Amino acid sequence: MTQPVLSVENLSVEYEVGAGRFQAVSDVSLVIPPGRVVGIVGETGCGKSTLAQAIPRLLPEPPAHILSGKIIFQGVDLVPVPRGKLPMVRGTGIGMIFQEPLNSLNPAFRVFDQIAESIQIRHWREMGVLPVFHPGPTPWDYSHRPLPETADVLSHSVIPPGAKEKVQRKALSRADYRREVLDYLRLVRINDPETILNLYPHELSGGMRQRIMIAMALSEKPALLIADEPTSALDVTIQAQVLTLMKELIDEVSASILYISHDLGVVAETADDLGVMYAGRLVEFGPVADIFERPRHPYTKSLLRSIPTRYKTDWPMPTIPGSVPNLSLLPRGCRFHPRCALARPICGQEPHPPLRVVEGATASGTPHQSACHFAEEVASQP
Amino acid sequence: MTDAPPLLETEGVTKFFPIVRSIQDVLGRRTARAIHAVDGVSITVQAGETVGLIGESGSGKTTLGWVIARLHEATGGAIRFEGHDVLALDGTELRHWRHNVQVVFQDPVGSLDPRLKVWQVVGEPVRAQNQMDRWFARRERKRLRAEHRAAVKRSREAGTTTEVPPPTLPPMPPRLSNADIRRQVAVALPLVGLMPAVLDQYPHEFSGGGRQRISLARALIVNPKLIVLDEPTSALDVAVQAQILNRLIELQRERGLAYILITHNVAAVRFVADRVAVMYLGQIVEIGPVREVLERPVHPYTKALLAALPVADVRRRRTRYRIGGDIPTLVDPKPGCRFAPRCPFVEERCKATDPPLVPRPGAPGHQVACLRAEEVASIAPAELLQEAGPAPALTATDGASASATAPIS
Repeated sequence: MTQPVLSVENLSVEYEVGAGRFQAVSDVSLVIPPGRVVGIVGETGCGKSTLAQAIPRLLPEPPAHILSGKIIFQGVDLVPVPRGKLPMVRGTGIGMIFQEPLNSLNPAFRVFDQIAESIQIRHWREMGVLPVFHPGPTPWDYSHRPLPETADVLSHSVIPPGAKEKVQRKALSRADYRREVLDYLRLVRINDPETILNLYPHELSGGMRQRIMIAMALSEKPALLIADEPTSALDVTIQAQVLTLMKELIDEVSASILYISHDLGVVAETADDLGVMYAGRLVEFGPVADIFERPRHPYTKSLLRSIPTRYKTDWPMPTIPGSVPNLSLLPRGCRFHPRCALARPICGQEPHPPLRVVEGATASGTPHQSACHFAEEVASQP
Repeated sequence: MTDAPPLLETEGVTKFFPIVRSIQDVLGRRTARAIHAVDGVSITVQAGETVGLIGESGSGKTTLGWVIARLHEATGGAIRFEGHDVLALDGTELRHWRHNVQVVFQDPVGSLDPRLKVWQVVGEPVRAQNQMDRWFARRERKRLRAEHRAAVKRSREAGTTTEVPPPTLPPMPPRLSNADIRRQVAVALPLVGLMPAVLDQYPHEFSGGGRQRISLARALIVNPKLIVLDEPTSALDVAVQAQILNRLIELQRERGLAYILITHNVAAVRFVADRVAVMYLGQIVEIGPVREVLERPVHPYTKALLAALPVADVRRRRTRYRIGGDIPTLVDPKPGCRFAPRCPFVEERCKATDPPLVPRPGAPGHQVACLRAEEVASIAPAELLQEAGPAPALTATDGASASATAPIS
């Protein structure tokens, strides 16, 4: 099965705030093959979180507004899906782990209820009580149903064949839920899950809460998991625990993962492919090892060099001059050219260069793409 | 120089936060409990030096910074600034002393009043110090005048005809007008890379890096000798962080500032600090020159902390040794090494005695609080991987904060 789980094509998202409008995501295309971890890095305000939330259509519309492009999830374009049908996609199709677990868990629910809720919805869908979005075989798909037409999904809910019989099946008892919740808590390596079940989110530490979030996202058996800065709010040692857990789970659940982070170190450890965003644009995309060792975009290169790795005696550290441009006042041409050491007249005149495969950069796998006129030269520059 | 006291010296500083007792606790005569946020910390900071404080959240590093700046009252111990006891200061003297130690707070949004313009935010300490200067001048002039009056009275009673010379009064510093403050702020802003044109903007008009620069300008404007930097770059992106860190070092070289850099970002500490202290549960477990501590860590906690860092290097992508469990509770901690419940090298004696901070032989300035320091010293973090294995030693501290411990190969 080579069909990608998710392919985003030329997606542009605009925010309309007051009288102003600005594009937070411009013309972004990326493909997530099954079972692969795709990382997205970028500075604050580069549009990575907007991208993460635009994919399951979680952005509040308005003020956000998808200008153009396609979000093809398992063969179905999500952009024209009406709002009422979106809950079918979220949860069972696309799971999400948010940055701040305390804000994303319901403070009035015990851990058991938080996780049981998503299991219940999954069960209802499997039983045919709730409509299901199941266009293609996923790692969680038991029956390998044929792919429906896009129109099918949009016009009427896809109830899996055989669902009629399943409706007769008895709903799960509380003990069944309990067993399943315990399974998921053990999956995210929580010791003593029986005690944890009855606690409220505020009684847990940050690392534990994030594990609960991960358990919730996984209990829906999503084909795509979007992790939006899952470890940024945690301490280094706890972050290391959660990161290791994520890496193990990547192998166990075989879901595809879109991993958003501002921390290059975190992404280097988890992702297979890496996309670098700058001012709403994807400026570089390729296998993570390639990007770290041979960056082909000047922005990636200077970003990698501004990680402090040396001592005071090596002062000053190389920095990128200037600051990230305001999204409503973008420079003409390449968005990075005012801060770029390689900039030439063409960079300011031509429109922002599209992503293109860099010649001679990759041997196999995902092609290494860069949105720079001089991608081939970047590697040879000091 | 040899006998001059260090810029800052703390001796066994403690800070306990009492836990509010419920009515049942009071009626049941249960003893009052306290959170031992900082528990016996002794460090020195020399002029022009940067001391990094690293540790997880809850290790007491921020509390220590606040105690040093006297934003929290220390429960015990002594703090000396240039040889003078700081804890004895109070009232106006304390307010006047505050210009020596300034703090750059962690949250660049929360630490700037949204209703004040940049010149007001940055100029506030100037105005406060001006008030203090005037207060002291007034007191001094009053004292001299009273002395003079007494002397005149004495001479009159003694019947001497010689005039008592009037005292030379110290000049009264003028009250600063808004224009004066704006002028001073306009001079200070370029130090942190901001244009004086931003004087009349509000903090919300700035990005995170810009706000942190305003914070830094506010700290610098009263010419402090020591700046406590509390997570100055945690809220910032790497590119902006690099700019701010460069600027910090430049300012230190220009003005001989001393910094206490409180952060969990080891990369920033490596770049800025001269010495680094590793804190765990309110105590310093290891302190020494930055290269020494970061390249040859001795304490098992330091090793684990350094090994837990994600590294932006795909070649080093590996299973990392990790410390099982979360930070245990700080409420009335039991005696013994605080790291013992999470330590892979724990022995019975570790749980019985508090390990003191002892200098390492052959490494000047490097002190470690571990009973097994010399045995553990040679073990590289990579070997810790095997050591840590599925060892039962890594028992979780309590049910609610336990987690898996076995590293995955």
